[in-house]
Amino acid sequence: MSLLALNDHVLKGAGIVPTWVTGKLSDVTGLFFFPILLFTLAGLVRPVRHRVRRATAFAWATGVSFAAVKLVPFINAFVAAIWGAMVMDATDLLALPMLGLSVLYLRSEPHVVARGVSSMHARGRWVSLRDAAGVAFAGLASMATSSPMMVRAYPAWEVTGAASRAAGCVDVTPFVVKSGKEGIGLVATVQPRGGDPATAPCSTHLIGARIAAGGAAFPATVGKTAIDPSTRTVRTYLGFPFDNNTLWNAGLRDATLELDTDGSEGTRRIVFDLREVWPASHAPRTLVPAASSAQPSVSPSAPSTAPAHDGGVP
Amino acid sequence: MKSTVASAAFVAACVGCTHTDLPTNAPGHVEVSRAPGDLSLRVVEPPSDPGERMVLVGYGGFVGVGEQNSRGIGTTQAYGIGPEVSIGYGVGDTSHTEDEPLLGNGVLAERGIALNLGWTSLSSLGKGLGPLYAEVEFRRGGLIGVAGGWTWDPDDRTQGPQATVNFGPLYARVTTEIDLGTQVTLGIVLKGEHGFVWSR
Repeated sequence: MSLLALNDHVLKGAGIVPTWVTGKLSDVTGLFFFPILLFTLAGLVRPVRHRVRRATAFAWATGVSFAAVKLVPFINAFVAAIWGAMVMDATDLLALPMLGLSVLYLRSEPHVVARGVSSMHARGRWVSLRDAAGVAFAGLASMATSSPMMVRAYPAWEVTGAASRAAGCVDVTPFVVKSGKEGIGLVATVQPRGGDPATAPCSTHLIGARIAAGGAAFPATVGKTAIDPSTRTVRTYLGFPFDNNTLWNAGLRDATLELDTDGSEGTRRIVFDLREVWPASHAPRTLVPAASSAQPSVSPSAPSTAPAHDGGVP
Repeated sequence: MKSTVASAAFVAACVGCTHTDLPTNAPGHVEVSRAPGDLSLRVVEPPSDPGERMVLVGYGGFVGVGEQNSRGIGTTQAYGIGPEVSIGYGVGDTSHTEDEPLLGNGVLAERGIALNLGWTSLSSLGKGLGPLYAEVEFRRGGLIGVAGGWTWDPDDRTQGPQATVNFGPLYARVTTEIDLGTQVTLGIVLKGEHGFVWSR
């Protein structure tokens, strides 16, 4: 019981021993311990008469339940909602022989398990503080745990569909870098599409930006331009303040990003699809900062000999 | 009877700490007016935690022992055992994490208020079954609660005030039944709880 508690509540997620070790150790100790716990709890309600028969029955019940949780998705989901997350892994069934050892223990050491119970019934006294503490500790120790600490994850807007669109002689690639109740912040990367800058100069300005959602348009009110002279890549930060919390609560998950450009090839409007996604309420701590990594990854710089571009929102 | 009450309460407390995460107000806080320091980084800024609100429904039982001063009898040993249900509302400045050690899937309110309805069905004070009670509880820090309320004992046709202080699963309670006596008990309350949680 102590080993199970140590493994589940200290070693798991601590990085001291490999995850597969804590996982298997949890199964091995749990399958040995659970029939004993059930045996003891049953003894509190009714005195033990057929020790081996009762121990075997609890071992079978534990084994069947364990196999069902490990193999049947809807049973796993049901139990996880009550008892805590448990990984579905058929190889965990390799630990089932521990049930036999548990029954052997209950057969060979009956006085250890049933001493307090039988004496309680024999004397007609209430269970001792020690027995109650032992059962309480056993119950707490047996509560399932999963190795990673799961922290709150938040919905985030992402660019869906085409990650990059052409606007005249440049490609524009937006990337959402902020998403929250107060709105969206994104970086628009403007890159020349190549060609000889001497014969085909390229000059494009970002002249307007807005997000359309739920029949309303929210213009960008914050713009910041950065020019990388070595690559001629322009990156502009666009902040779109709006009440995203209200949109979320209204169930509005889709929006469009409209960017207006003006350059040597005239004025153009390019449109990107946005969607606010929330895979789960919680995610492993290590994954939360990269929650929107599903967005298309764009090389931060691309070699180009084209003239530098200007950008920004008027 | 006693073992059945205690066993049921224990089982309820062990398997009943669950919660449901609701999607309301799910986005976090960001400051869109401030540009990131380095625009070339493809990094999404993690939103700041807005905290959360919750409705908690609890169910379980308590077992306490102590002393009582009964009219005409004097000071004697006392006990109180019975079921209790509660419904409460709470807030937390930080959102809960999953897989809290020893907490299972439960959630705790940093500040909250709850209505407790209980029945000290097995009580050493008075005759027959013990009193029903209703308490309003103020909770702080997830583990501390201070409650005050009123009891009503139909068997003894009496009533009176009751006050309880909780610290985790431990409690101290003073119950006064007018014209009957006063009981002070210390004990353990084991309650399963289901929380409905949403962001602030």
